[in-house]
Amino acid sequence: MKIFSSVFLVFATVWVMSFFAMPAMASSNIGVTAAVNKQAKSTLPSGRVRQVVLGNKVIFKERIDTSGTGLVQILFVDGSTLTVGAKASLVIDEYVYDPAKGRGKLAVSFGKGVMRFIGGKISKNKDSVTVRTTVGTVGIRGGMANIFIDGRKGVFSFLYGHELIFIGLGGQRKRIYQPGYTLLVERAGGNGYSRLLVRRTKRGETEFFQRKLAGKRGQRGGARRGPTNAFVANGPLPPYNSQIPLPRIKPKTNPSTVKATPMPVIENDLLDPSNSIDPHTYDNYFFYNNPYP
Amino acid sequence: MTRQFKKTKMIALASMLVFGFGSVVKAAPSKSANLQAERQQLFNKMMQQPDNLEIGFSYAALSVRVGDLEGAVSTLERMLIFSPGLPRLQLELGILYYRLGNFDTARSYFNDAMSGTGTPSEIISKAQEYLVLVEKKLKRFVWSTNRFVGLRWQSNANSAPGKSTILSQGNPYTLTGKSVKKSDFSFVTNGNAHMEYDLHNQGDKIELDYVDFGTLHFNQTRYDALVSELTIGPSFNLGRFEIDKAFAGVYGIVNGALLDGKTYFGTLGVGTRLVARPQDDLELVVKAEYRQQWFNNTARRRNATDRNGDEFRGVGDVKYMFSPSFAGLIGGRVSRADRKVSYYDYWEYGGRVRFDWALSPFEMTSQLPWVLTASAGYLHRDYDTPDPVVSLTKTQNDNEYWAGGILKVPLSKSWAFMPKVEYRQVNSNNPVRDYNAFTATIGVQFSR
Repeated sequence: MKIFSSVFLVFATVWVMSFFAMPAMASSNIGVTAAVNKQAKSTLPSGRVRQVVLGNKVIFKERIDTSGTGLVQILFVDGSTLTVGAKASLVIDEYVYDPAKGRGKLAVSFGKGVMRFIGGKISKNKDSVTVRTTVGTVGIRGGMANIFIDGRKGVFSFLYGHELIFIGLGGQRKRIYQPGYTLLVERAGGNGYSRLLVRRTKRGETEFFQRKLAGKRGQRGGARRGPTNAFVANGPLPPYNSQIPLPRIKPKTNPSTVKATPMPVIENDLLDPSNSIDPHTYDNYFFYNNPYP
Repeated sequence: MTRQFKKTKMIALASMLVFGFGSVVKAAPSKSANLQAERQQLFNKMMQQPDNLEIGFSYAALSVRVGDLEGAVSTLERMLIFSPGLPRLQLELGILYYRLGNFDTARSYFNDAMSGTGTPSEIISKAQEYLVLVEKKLKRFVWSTNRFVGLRWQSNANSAPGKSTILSQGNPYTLTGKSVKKSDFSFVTNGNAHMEYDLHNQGDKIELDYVDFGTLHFNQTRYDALVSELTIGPSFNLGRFEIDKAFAGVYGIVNGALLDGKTYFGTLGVGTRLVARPQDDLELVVKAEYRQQWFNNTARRRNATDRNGDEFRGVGDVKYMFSPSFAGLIGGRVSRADRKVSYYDYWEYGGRVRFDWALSPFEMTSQLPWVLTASAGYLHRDYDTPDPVVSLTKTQNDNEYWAGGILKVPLSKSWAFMPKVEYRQVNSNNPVRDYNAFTATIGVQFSR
């Protein structure tokens, strides 16, 4: 009877715990492979290797490797996407998402290659998206970033959002808070670095990422059909994008902070009230009968 | 009775504007919530069928409509994997990156869109149009300028009371003709220029801003004026202190004015201005300035130097974009002036509201938008001590109200026709400062 009670208690505990572990359970369906150029394979946590095809459910702790022509875009349930180029290696270490609160956590290990991260709902919060690499770990908040890892070298370009924080293997810290900037990392011996430099993104770097993350002609990303120029032009997007007259498009740029008195109010702000009629400052025929000596 | 009526009218107008502002703020989220719900449904379908083009493009369009440009970018980049090198997609992506402010990636997409074989000519011309702007945005040194010239009619060009008989210290006085309200025409010009030099240090810049105003009256030539102001200083991205989307500028101020052909005053000062954008459609501005001002005595303004002194000014504005074509602003200000003689010392405080509409009156999608600006405001001034000429016991206080509108009708990319109207009412216990004025101006503005 005592044994029966203990077994019941264990089962009951496991059953109750399973509810608390819902986010982890949810990680078994954390996203899908939304575009796949062959060849790409994945290694499941069980050790089973499978060919990645479009529409695969992405699984927690799954490792994805792409070949010389491979390209994979993973779409997560919060709307975040990870696009990895050829000869890349990626493991989804952690993914937790609470749709009701729009909060969660995404952690990936990126061993090599080129990737672009575009943040969904969870990336809006601090410390929610981390990418572990061989040269250090980056956190991306509210944004978009390109990453290139090649052994002891790393390139981190911040495209859009709040910040990209790099934490080195020895705790070194670098932060990009302005989109359009790139962090260059080069490891020296041990946990040291021979280069940790933040500077404006160069044109060549942008084009490198664009080239590496684009499909090749003849590839179709696993889709049955791809869009055509006419399909895009006649679709629902252009009225809200390319068909908007250019003068109405206001890009998100940093505001001007040093400003003189605004143009429409300069007359009243700078001249008035000192420009108005004043018996002290005007000539003495202000009144017929001058009231002051 | 008449003054009370005018005051009531002004308060009613201000209330309508403020409550109108609030109503639009309340109305905006419900529409957005519907779009968000529709978008979430499409997203769920997209997770099931990521290669469904109809679902993908509908999701991208809704993402743009709710302001999630990143969501549209990731979807279109997937479509580009399905159709590598498709110029129309590259153009749409280039525009999305341009809107996000990532001009490097935008340039790359525009160049790719143009370089494809057999790219339709309209895509090439659109991409070229954007590329010109992108190249400008990527320059280290950028500048812009505006210049308005026009003809103005003022019902009260000398800001004078309407009645020729006033009470001063309880005694009636008769004002000379020159000191009674006079209408007049004048030529006016108003311009500004802004320059920025990017220090390539994550958003830090050196900025220079210039503004001027000049007027030449047909008859009231004693009010011919030219005033100009220059501010220059560095601005910093406060992201370095982990304050998101906030920028602060510290600057020096120099200005000067000519009145009636003579030097009227000169100013030196310092200021700081903080701009924060806690969300994409909201901008907060706080400004504090200190100015030291020197006046010049002339034959007509013999005691102008009594106004020598300093002034502190604090301004706060909140600007909200209700939609890409409609913005509202509400702001407050406080000033303190300390002059050589105490009856010129005053505290001033007030507020204003402003709305800007971008209009397309003829539904021509390619036309430049007309912009209608409506504004209204209130200022209260309390002087420190009685002006002995006006009263031995009572200090002056002014209540100033104004409302106005400007319509900007573009004639080309650089030129616009701009009619302006303004009504201003100053109620003061100093009879020579008690006046109203209506102003109508027509002119053209050149922008570059």
